[in-house]
Amino acid sequence: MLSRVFSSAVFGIDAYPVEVEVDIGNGLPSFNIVGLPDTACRESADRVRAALKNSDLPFPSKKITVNLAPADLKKEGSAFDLAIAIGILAASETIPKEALARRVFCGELSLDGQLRGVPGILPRAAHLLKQRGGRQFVIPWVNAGEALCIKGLAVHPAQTLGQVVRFLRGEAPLDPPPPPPADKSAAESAADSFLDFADIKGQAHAKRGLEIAAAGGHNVLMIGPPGSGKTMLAKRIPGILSSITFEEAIETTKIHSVSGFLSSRSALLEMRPFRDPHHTISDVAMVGGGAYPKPGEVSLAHHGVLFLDELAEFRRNVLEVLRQPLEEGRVTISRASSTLTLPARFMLIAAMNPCPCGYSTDPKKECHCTAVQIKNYMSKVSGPLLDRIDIQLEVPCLKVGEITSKASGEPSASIRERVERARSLQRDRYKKEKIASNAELGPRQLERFCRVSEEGERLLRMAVQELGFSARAYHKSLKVARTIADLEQKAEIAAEHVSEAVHYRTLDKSIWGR
Amino acid sequence: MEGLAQTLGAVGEELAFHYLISKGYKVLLRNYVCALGEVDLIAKEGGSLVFIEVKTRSTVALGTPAEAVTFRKRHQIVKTASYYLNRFGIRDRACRFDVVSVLLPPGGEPSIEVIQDAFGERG
Repeated sequence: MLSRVFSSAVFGIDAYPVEVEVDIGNGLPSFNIVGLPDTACRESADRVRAALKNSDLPFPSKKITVNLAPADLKKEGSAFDLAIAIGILAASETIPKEALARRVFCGELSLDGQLRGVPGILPRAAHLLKQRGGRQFVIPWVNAGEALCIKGLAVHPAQTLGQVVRFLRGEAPLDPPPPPPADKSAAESAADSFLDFADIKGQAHAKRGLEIAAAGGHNVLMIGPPGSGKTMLAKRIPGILSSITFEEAIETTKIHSVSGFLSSRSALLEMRPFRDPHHTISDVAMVGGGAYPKPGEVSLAHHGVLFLDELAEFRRNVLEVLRQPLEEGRVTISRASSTLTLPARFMLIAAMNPCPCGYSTDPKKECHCTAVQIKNYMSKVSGPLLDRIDIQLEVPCLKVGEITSKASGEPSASIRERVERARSLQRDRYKKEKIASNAELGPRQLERFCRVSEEGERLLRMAVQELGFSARAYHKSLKVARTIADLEQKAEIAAEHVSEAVHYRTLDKSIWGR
Repeated sequence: MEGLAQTLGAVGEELAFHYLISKGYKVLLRNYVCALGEVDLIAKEGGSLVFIEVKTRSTVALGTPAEAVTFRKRHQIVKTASYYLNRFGIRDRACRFDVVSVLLPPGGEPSIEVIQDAFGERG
């Protein structure tokens, strides 16, 4: 007695179909799972046995062999539990085999027959939609919201194994929950709930820099003494980012889905992600990897912000692995067994002190560091990494008047309005280019879209000569100038835009002496 | 020479044998022994070939009799059973493993419990 049930598995952030074949035969009673299962997958045997028994369903005392095809790909996790249980029931003719056609099952079973949620439902659902012939997706109830993000797919969420069996016998329907009331302002109110830029006194220069960065998706490095407000500034960036588009949300949510970070309530990400890993992070955690490759922080920050506080405290190899994702917006993880490319288009916001004690740029406090100490500290941030940062900001200590003043700064909401306007300008301009922001412009697109006035051109040439800009630095400055012009809704990049953009790249000269 | 434990075991197996017959088991063999180990009883019941391990205890102070069927013992029974099936060329028979737990308190009534399908090939 043989049965065949369809399920699916995830590799990286893409799903592939898995066929669960169940054979029940005579012989010594046993329950074997083959097809390169990992431990969680092999233990599925015990969960399925108990779940069937506790759902008052028969568990045959026979020789049961389960094959997860394709048998040469490693399978991980507990998501095959449901498909295996259904396969056993079909093979022992408890449920009709015809009911299995065109249906795909995913879910973990608890011992009492409840269905538990599994990570990676969204990529599976997206993959199923592309299959011909219309598939029905039977999943745990808690994952329903995630699967329903994919419009046009028939989703049947269930709370227990018993419900699935009744559904397959045609006794009871499995209807998805009603969609939550469409609340357009949900994203906006979420943005408002963030910390507000109005809390920050002074630092107008840094705020302006962050506004430009948010408008064009540029990378930022903030340097300043302790307590000057670098972290405060960074934590308020989510509040001024433009809202995430549906396509972007799907892409990012897929990554979060695979990593198991989605709660059952909020299915699709409504906000751009903001990731702030601690500086003890390993390189694998940063770019992704592992025996079953999982996305790292750079991918989790896709279409959002990666904030690295105390940049110089990060391990050197962790910083250097950022080079490829910063440049290409994706990260390729190569291992002996497989190669995987994950999207990683994020905005890097970094903050650091100018020296180990932190006060070398402070006019009042004395710096205790030796020249060698400072050199070692600053050399943690390599030239190639620094070159990839478009906007360098000095965040100085506040003056007495600024600290005690009662006046509050500009609220995040009005900054966000300007950012949104600049972003929509870029979206319209790059509609045919498959990019969304100035930061993603390629060299050829630069020529087409970044027309500079004559005076601006002269200024740029001077910068290259006098400041020793690299080719990349030149391009990056041009992109920043484009964004500054966009913020003012100007079509042509004028000299003032160029001069401001060049000004944001001069810090490395004064601090690194490069 | 038989010790106390062996006598207890023999009494238990005798009790279990009669009890199973009364429950409709058709006993084929008692104390099947091969080089790989032994099986206390081999019987037919409900269309399956049943390999039965009988465990007898006089007290539950050290756990119930059924608990004494350790992984190693189960493994040995499975190996013996698969030898038996090969020996007679009946590998595709429906099989199962039962455990009969016999409690013989000194001077009290014996209590017998049959655990059907107690374990499988992998314990």
